[in-house]
Amino acid sequence: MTNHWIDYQHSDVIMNIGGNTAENHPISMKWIQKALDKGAKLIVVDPRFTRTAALADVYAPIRPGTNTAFLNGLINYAIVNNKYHKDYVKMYTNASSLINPAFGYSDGLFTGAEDAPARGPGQKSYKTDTWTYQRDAEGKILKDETLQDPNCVWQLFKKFYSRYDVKTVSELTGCPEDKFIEVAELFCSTGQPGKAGNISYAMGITQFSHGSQNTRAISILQLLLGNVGIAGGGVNAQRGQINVQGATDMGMLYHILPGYMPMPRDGQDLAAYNAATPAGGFWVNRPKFIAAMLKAWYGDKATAENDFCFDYLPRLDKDRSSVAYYTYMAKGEIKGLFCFADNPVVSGASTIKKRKAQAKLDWLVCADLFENETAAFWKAPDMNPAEIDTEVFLLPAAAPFEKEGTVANSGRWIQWRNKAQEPTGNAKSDLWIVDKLFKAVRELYKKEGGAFPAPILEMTWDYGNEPDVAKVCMEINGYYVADGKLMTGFADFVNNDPGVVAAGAWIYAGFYQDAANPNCKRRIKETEGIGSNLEWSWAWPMNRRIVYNRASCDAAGNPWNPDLPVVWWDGKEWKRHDVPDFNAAVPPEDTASKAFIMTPELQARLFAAGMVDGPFTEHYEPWESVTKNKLTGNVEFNPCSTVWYPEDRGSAEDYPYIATTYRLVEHYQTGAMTRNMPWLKEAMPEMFCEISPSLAAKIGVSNGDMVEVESKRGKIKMKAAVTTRVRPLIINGEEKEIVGMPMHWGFMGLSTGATCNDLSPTIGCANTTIPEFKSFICNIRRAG
Amino acid sequence: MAKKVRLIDTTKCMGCKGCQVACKQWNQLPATETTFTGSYENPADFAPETWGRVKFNEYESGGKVKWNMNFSSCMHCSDPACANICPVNAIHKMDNNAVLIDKDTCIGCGLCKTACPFDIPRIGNLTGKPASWKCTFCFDRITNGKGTACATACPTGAISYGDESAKIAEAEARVAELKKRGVAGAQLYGKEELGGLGVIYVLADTPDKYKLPVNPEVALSTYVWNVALKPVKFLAAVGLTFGLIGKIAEKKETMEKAS
Repeated sequence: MTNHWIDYQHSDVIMNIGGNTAENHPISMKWIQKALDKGAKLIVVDPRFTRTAALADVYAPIRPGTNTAFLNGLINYAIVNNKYHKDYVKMYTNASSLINPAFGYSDGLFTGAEDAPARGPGQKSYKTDTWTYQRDAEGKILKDETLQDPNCVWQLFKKFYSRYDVKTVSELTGCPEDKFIEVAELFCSTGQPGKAGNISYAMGITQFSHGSQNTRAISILQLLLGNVGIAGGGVNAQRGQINVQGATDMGMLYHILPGYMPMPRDGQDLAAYNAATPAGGFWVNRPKFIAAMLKAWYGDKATAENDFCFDYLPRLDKDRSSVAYYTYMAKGEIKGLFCFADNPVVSGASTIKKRKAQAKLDWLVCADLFENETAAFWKAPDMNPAEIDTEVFLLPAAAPFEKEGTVANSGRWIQWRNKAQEPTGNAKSDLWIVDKLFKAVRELYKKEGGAFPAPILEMTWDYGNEPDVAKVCMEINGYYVADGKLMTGFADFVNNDPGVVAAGAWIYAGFYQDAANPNCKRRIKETEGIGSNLEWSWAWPMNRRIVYNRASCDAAGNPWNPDLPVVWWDGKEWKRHDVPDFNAAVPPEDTASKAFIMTPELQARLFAAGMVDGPFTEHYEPWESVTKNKLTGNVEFNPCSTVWYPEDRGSAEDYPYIATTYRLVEHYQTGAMTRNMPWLKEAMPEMFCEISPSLAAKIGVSNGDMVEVESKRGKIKMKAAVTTRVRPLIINGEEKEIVGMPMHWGFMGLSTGATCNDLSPTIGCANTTIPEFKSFICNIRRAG
Repeated sequence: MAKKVRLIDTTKCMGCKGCQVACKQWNQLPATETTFTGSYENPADFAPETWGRVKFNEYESGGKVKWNMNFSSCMHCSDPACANICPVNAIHKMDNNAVLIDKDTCIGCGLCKTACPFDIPRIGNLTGKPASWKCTFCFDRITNGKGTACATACPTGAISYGDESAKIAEAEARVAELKKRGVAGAQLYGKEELGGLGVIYVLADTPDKYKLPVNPEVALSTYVWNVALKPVKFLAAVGLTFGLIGKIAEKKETMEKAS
C-alpha cells in the first residue's frame, strides 16, 4: 500500500475493485465505515455481488479478466471529461517527457515484438529500444511542458486510452454503460484538488496473465486523479495473509532479494550487478544496500576484495516461480521440496498436475499445524499410494500466536507481537525449525564437503543455541560492523562506504534501532494529527505512513487539501503529520516535480518502459476466454506470458462459461487451519459454487443441488448456490454466464470438499508469474 | 445497574460472523453439524449450543440486489413472554435488562420456546439434563464491566452494547443520518416493539427484510396460560411427566405453522 488502513477514513470515494474487503480483510471495514460515516462513498466492482457490495453505494458488475479494460475506461473518461488533476499530472508524472518517435503499437503489440518460442507458440518478447525517452547530449530527458508535442507521453497516452470509450469498455467488461458512467462520475470526482479517492484491491487484480498491467492501470488512474501521496488516496494492495507483506519484504519471492533488490541473473558478477543500478533516484544507493546485506550474511568473510561474497548468492538461471518449478518437478528435475506454511496442492494452479508432480519427488518436508493436502498428496482420491515413493516428513509448526516476532501489515507497519501461549505439543516456531535445519546441513557440509560448501560454511549464523528472534531482528535492521551499534535509518547507508554497515534488509533500517526499546514495539496512540500514529510501531521506509507524500502539496508546498495536510511548507520550513518522502531541509521549489524518489526521473510513469508486456496497459483477454478482443487484432491473451501446457487450453465451444475463484470470510486460504476449526466449519461447512438463476434453469439445477464443474484440466463436484448475486453479463453482444467457486477446500481435515484449483490453468502473469486463478473457462452440469 | 441494550446497526453489518463465533467461543459452546443449503446463513437455526447467529436475506428491490445481514439472538424483552409462561419460574428478568434461565430450576418443557415472539430458546441436553438454552446477554461479562462477546468482536461497530438511553439516542441519530443520506426506509426497531426490547436495531428497510417479525406479538394464549395456571404452575410442571404441557406446546407450534 502507498497508504495504510487507518488512512482509509480520509477517503471521499473508495473503489474496491478486484478485492472483497469485507470478506477477506474484514477489519478494514472499520476504517471504511468511518469514512462512510463522514459521507464518503463506496464503489464495489466485482463479478459477484459480494458482502462488500452489500454495503456499497454503487455496485458495478464486471466480467472476470477485464479489469484493465475497466480501468482504462476510467482513465479515458477522466481525460475526455476533463476530470483529471492537471497540475499534479504535469508536475509529478512523466507526461511532458518526449518518447522515441519510433515507438508505437498496433493490433495488440507494441513496437519491438519478436517471436519468443520459449514462451510458447506465437508468444512474443519485446526489444525495448523504441520504448525510450528522447534525451539531449548530456542524457537529460527532453520535455515539452506544454504537453503538445505529438511524441510527448501525454499525447501518446491520450491517444492510446481514447480507444477505451464507454461503449467499448461496456462491451468488453459486461458492465452496463449507465453503471460504468455512474462509477466513472463518482470516482473521477476525486480528480480535483482537495478530494481523495482510494483504490483498494487484492488478488482479483493481480491473479491474471496480465495482473501487473491491472496494477499499473490502477496506479495510472490514481496519478491522473492526483490520488497518490495524499491522505485518503492511494494504490492500496490489501495483503491476504497475516505477514505476506513481511515475506515479500524479506525477499521470499524467487526474483528478488530482501528489500526488493533484484536477484542476480545467471553469469552476473557484482560489477555487472552494480552497473545495472538505476541512474537516479534513491535506488542509486543500491550497491551499498547489497554490500550491507552480504556483510550481514557473511560477516568478516565478506570484503570489498572478494565482492562481499556476492558469488555465493544463487543465480536466477531461469523462471523459478511456483508455477515454473512444479513444471520442472513434473519432469523429475526437482528431487526435494520444503513447504513451510504452504499448501500448493490446494492453492496452486492446476492442482491435479501438482499432486502428480509431487509423486516425482524423492522427499517432501512440510511444516504446518495440520497434515494438509500437500503433505498428504499421496492420499488424494486420485492418487495411488502404492505407486508413490516420495518420503514425506511432517514437522509440527507453531501457530502465529504461539511464537514471538514481527509481522508487517499491508500498510508496511512492522509490529512486534509477544507469544500468547506455548505451542501445542512438540510444535516449534519456523525460526527454530530453520535454525536446526541450517545447523544440521552445515554439519553435513563440514563432514562431507559437497559441491559448493563455502556459502553454507561461511555464513554468519549466530542467533544462539535456541534461536533468538531479537538477534535476527537486529541483523535485519542493520548495525555498524566495527562496534555493533544498531543503525537508525538510511543515512547510515548513504553516509558510509560499502561494507561499513551490515543490514539484512535495507528497507527495514530503523525498525529495531535499539535493543531495549525497538521502534516495532512502540504502542503510543496519536492524539492529534491525521492518523499517522508515528509512535505506534514503525513503518518502512523510515517510518513513513504515506509514501510519495511530497505529491500531497503543490509546487510551493501548499497542501492540495488544507484540511488534511500530510506535510506543508509554512513559509520557512516543512511541517509534518508524516515523515517527509523528500528532502525536507530545502525549500519546496527544490523538490517540486521530484516527488517520486524511487524512479531515476523522479516522476511517476504514465509511460513505463520497465514492464515486460508494454509501457501502456493494453487489455488482453485471459488465456482462456469466451470472447474475442476487438482491440488487439490476432493477439488473444498476454503475448508475453509463458504457456507451459498449450494442450491444456480449453475452447469456448467446449467450456462456454467463465469460471472465477475467491475466498470467503469464514475460511482462511487453503483452509488448512479453518477447516479444522469446528466453529468455522459450522459457519461454512461445504464447498459450493455460485451460479445465476438463469444458468441454474438452463442446466436444471435448484439451490443446494450437486453439480459437476469441468475445465480442460479436470472436473469436480460440489453443491450449487443459485443466487441473483451472480448474473450473466452481455459481452460483445452475447450473454455470458459466470461460475464462482471458493478456493478453500481439499480432501483433508474436518471439512473436506473439492479443490477448485483442480480446474485452474497453468499460466501466469508475464511480469510476475502469479497464476491466473481469477478467470478461466468451464462447463457445468447437474451431478446425479 | 442501569438498563443495558445491544444496538445492532444492520447498515454496518458485513456478515463476517465474528459475533457468531465469539458467542460460541466465550460461552464454550460446541459446534453444530451443519450442511450447505444454498445460503451463507449457517447454522441455519438456533440450537441449545447456538445462541446467536447471523441471518442473511437476499432479495431484489427496484432491480437491485439487496443482501441484508444481521446478528440474531435473544431480544431480552422488557416483559418477557418466556418468563411469564415458565411453569417453574426458571426465567428471570434482571435489573440490567438480561433475561436469564436458571438451569437448576428449568425442566426443559419448551413452553418458553413456544411463547417467544422471536422463536429463540431451544431445548436440549447440553449439561446432562433437559433445559432451555439461549443468549445470556453475556451476564458474566456485563456484570464485570465488559461488553457482550458479540459486540466486542464486531469489527465495524455494527453491534455495540451500552446504557439503554444512550444507545437509543445513538440509534435515533443514526436513523436520522441515514434518512438524510437518502435511505428512505431507515427505521428503528426494538424501542417500541413489545414495550421495548433489550436489543435495538437500526434497519434500512422494513423488519421483514431482516427476517424480523414486523409486529411481534405475544400470543394471547401465553397470557391466558400464565394467569390461569399461575396458582398451579408447579402442578402443571408435574403434568410434564404425562406429556401434557409438551402436548400443548406441540399443538401451539402446529397452529402457528398452519397460520
